[in-house]
Amino acid sequence: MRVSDLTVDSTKLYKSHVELLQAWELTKEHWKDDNSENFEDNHLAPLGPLVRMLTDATNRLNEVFARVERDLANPGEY
Amino acid sequence: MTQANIHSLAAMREFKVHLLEFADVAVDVAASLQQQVLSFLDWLEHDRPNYWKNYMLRSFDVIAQARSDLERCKMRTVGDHRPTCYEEKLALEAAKQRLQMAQEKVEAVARWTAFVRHEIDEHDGRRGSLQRYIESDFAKSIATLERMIAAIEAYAEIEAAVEEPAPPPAP
Repeated sequence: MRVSDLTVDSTKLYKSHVELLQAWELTKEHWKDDNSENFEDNHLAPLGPLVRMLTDATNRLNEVFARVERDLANPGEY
Repeated sequence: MTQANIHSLAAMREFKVHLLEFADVAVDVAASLQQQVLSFLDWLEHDRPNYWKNYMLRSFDVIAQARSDLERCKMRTVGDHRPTCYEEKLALEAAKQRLQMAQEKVEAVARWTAFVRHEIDEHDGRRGSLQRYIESDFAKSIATLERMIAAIEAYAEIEAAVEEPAPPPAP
């Protein structure tokens, strides 16, 4: 069993963001005007890079944790 | 404002729910990541050093025992025959290898700790950026959407009042 497995959180955040974008696409079908464009540009678009940067960093950190766990694991009883 | 805007109200309300759900998930994930990172650091900086130092100390004991076993074996002569003490030699060699491994792991713990600390700092920066965005900018996004919904609702009420037929004149 892993000491810390970050994949669950990383996947959860990624999926939630995808669901938000899908929900926005559906919303846009009913709300097409300048306000919706402004909302997308100013409030939703900045979120994408932040989510990607965190999921990328989390996946990388998870790989580091896995390597450390493998290297420093108990070798078994004497 | 057009009729289409008024029809979009339900979709906008539903999207607001999605925004709130996403904010909840993002806050939960950020907190969980922080907790997991702290757990890992505790394992790396406390559990592992103790484990490998104890393993090293145990290795010294096992080597001492193996040397003693080998010496006893060498003294066991039957007539002119001297035993090879093959198993005792193997046991001593294995114990020495385990000691060497333990010493290397103690050093590895120190190396990994410095490396992992650096990686965690990088990760904390990314986590903090999203967390700050959710707590400030994203909260403003939700408030903006709420204001739009309220404005449309107010407009819809005015429209309804205007379209409502006037009551018949009193007799």
